[in-house]
Amino acid sequence: MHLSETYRRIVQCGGIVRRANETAELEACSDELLVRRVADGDTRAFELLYDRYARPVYSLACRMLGDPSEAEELLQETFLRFWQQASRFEARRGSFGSWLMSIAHNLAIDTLRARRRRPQRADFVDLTTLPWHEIDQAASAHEAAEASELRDRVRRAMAQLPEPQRLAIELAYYAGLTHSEIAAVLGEPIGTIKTRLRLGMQKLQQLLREQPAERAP
Amino acid sequence: MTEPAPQVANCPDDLLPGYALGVLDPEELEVVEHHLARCARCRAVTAELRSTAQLLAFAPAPQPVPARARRRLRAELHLRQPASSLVAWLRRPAWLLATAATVLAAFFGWQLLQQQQVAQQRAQLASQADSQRRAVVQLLAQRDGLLIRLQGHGAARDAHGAIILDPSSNTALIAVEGLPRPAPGQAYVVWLVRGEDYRQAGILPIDENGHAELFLSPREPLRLYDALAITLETNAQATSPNGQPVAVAWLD
Repeated sequence: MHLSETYRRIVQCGGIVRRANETAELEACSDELLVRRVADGDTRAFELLYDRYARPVYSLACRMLGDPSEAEELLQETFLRFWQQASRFEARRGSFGSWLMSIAHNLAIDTLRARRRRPQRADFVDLTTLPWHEIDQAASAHEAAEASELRDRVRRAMAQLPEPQRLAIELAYYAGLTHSEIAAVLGEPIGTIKTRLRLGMQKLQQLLREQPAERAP
Repeated sequence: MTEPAPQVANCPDDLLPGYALGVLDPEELEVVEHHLARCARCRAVTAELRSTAQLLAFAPAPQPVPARARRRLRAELHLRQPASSLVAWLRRPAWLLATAATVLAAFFGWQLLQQQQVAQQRAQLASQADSQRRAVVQLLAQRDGLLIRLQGHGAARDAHGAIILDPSSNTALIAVEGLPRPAPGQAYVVWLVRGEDYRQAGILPIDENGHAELFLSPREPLRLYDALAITLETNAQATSPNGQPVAVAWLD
C-alpha cells in the first residue's frame, strides 16, 4: 500500500470538503437529526439546539421559579440532562422541543417542592430590577420557530379561558400545587378545583385545535 | 385502526386533568393509576390531556438568556466529557494542532532526507512523501484534524510515529517509523482498547525500512475507545493480545 493512496483515502473519507460547509449544513438540520448527533457526542449540534431552545427553557424556569439565578441553574441542568440522555429521545413519541421542556418542567417542579420543604423566601424577585447582564443574542436570534409559534398559540388560548379555570391551570402547572394546595390557596372546595381544571383543560384543548398552526403573515 | 378502547365503570374524569398536570395528591394518584391500568379509554384521554399540558411549557413570556449560562454549560460539559473523548481533543486550541502538524511534518521531512540519500527509486518515494506531507498538513489544517503521537517502547523503543484521527468519518491512519522487523511467524497487531476489552483492528504491515502504516475504519465510533495499542504477536489471528506490547497511544 502506498502512503499517498492511504492519505487520499483518509482525505476522501474524512469529508474535508464537506466539513468546510458542515456548520452551515448543521444549522439547517432538523432537531431530530441534531439530537442524533448529540447522542454521538457532537458538541456543535448540542450548541445549535441550545440556540433553539435555551430561551423557552429559561423563560419557563423564570416563570416557575421566579428567581433568575435558580432559573439559570435549571437551564444548565436541563441541557446537561439532555447531553447525558440524548440517546433516549424517541421522535415517534413527540417533538424534541416538548421532550426537552418536559425535562425542564420536571426539574422545576422538583425545585419548587424542595423549596416548600425549606424555609420560605419572603421576597419575590422582580426580573426587571436585577442588574443588567450580558445577553446571549444567539439564543434569541435562533430560537426554534416551533417554540415561538407555540408560545403565541398557547398564550392566546390561555387568554381566552375563564379566569378561574386559567388560574387553576397555572397554579397546577407552573406552581406545581396539588388539588388540595390549590384549594387552600384559592379558598375553594377541592371539588370546585377539580371541576375547574377539567373544564379548563377541555377548553384549552379545543382552543388549540381550532387555532391555526401559524399566524397569518 | 385499533379496536374501540374498552372502558370500565366509574372513570375518575375529574382526576385525569390533574394526573396529566402531575398535581394529584398521593391517594388520588393511586386511584388513577389503578384505574388507568384497566381502562383504555381513560388512558387515551390522559394521553391527549398530557399533550396539551406539555404545550403549557412554551407559554411563559420570553426572557433574555444570560450569556454566562452558555459559558458555564460549555465548561461543565468539558469537565463531564470522558477523558478518552475525541470530542475533547477537537476542542483543543488550534496551536496544539499546529504543533502536532509541525511534528508530523518534521517526521516526514526527516523521512524525506533519508530517502534522498539512496538511489533513484528513493527519489520517487521522496516525491510521494512530499505529497503525503502536504496531504497531512491539509488534513490537520481543518478544524477537526486530530493527531496523537505514538512512541514505541520495549524492543521497539526507537519506533515513533503518529495516529491521525478523523472523528467525522470515524477513520484513523497509523504511521510508524523505526519498527524492528518481526521474526518469521510474528506480526504487529493493532488493538483498539476500551477498558478491559481489546478489539483487534488489524495487522500493521511493515516494509524493509521499518515503515508501517495502517488505515482504520472501525464499525464502532473511535471515540468509544480509550487507547490504541500495538503488540508483537506470534498468532496474528489472536482475539486478545498475548504478545509483547510495542506501543500504546491514549486517545484523550
